[in-house]
Amino acid sequence: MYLLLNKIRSGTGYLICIVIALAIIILIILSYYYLTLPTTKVSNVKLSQTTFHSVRVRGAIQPIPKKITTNIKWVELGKALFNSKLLSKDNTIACASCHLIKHGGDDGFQFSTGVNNQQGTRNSPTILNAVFNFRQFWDGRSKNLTEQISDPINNPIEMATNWPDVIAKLNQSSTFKQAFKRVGNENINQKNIVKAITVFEESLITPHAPIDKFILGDNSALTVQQQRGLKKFIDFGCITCHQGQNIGGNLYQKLGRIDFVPENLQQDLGRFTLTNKESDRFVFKVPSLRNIAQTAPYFHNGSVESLERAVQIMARAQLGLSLSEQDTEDLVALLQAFTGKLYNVRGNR
Amino acid sequence: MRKILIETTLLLSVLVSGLLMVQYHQQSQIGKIKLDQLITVQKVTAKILIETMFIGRNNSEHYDKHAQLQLNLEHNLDSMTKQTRIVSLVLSFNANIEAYIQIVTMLNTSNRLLASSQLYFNNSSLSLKHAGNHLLALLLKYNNKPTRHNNLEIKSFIDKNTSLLQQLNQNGMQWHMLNQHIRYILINTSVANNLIDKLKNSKLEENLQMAIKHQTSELLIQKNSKNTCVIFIIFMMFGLVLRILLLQRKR
Repeated sequence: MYLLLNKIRSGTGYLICIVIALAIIILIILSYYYLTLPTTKVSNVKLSQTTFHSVRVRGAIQPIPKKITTNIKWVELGKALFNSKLLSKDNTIACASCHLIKHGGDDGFQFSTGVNNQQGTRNSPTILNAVFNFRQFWDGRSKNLTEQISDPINNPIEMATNWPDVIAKLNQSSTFKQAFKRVGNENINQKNIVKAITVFEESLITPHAPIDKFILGDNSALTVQQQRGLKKFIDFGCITCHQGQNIGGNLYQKLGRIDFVPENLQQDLGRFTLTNKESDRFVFKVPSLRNIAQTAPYFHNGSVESLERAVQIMARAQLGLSLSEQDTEDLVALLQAFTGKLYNVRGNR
Repeated sequence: MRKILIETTLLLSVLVSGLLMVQYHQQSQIGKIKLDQLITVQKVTAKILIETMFIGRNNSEHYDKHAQLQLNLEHNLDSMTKQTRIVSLVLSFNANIEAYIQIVTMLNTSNRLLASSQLYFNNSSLSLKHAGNHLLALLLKYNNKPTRHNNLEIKSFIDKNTSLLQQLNQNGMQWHMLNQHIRYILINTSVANNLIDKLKNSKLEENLQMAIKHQTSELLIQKNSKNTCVIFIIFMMFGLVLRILLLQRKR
């Protein structure tokens, strides 16, 4: 080695040798640079591809955006995954099994049925407009749709599976292989599955509800009774919790804040089960009232069948108010006006 | 070996300085991200506090903005796992905000319902009108100064005048409901005040300020060290070129 170097040094190869040594050094430095690059956590990657063209108005209730900009290919892939039973352990349950998009975004049962006919203890919340909720699930344990998706997939009484199994099954499906290629030659992995379902769920919004038309200036959008109901909704104080774009879904509140609640609604301790804090006993995410007329049965345990009864319970528990028959009818009439039309991604493109 | 000692030393120096430079660069990149996170958290917490106070003073029509700010804060927390002190302070700040919002929104509603009851009291018999006005005055006093004495004064006034106040039911206003809201106010006004005091006196801002200061100086040290490495590499390269030229000339 020494002889070789000496020979090179005395000869014309000296310069070449120095350049080679420098090149090796640069290569080592570059390798070190790439090896020590700070990594970005997958959970922090922004998966959403949707822009909501929101309009703000004066008042507590805000309209649902009439237009969104999204990536149609990801929406279609997400829709296919949302409807695919491959996302469950025994290929019997899809997201769509408990969230029927054209029927209010839930399944209409008190409790949904998971794999092996197992049942949970909480009523399926609607998937429609869920993107506007400040947290997901009744107890708000997930911050957003992206974070929420893994929960039912891994839950042993819902889809009872895990990501490696789901990915393996999707990889065996030529339809899904092609579908993932169509969105840009993407691999079938957790990040892309979650992204597709998130983008699809973000498109599930219901604009053009009579209440939205009314607050945007169309005075004929609400009937006289519904307008009376709106006044009562505000005057009685329902608006305290049910406000904003989703008419709810933007804060936590204690069930029975002012007065008593029926015993069967007191069995679930709400956020207390997550935090163990006394102040969180019976605290739930305030549910959205959008499309409420289509999402019976009501409350976290789906124990109340009729909207009238649900309104009366809430008036008593949260406001200490005993509603007259007329008040109940007016409020229920207003709640019917919270039903919108499912946004058509293709039609509005 | 001695003949190539100078070149070897120069090249090794370049290698070591290069590796150090990369290390300082990566550290400063991470430090920059940390600093940005701290600054964002500082901005968002300030905004949340203002928005929370708006809601507390009933100056907010809906809470969408507040909810978005809370989410924004939590999103930033996810990537701040190593800064445990700040994270725990932010979590406690957030928990206090959530508790405050739950109570204060209902307090606003209770106060509004009680204010609207004045109309019903005014349309009642003279004795009920007087009782109602006195009760509302006591509540106003309690809102301004939620002391134990003022609290007990309201309770005893209601106990003494229950049958009279119940006559309000005949005028279309439910006394049971009003009474529940009064009880709510009596229990929760001081709770809400304590929570807002906790938020105002939170050590979070102070700690964030200190963390930002510390991070900024660390970043400066890392940048200076990186620059020193770059200068050292340039010197070494210059030395190498000089050595080559000298050897060529000698030859």
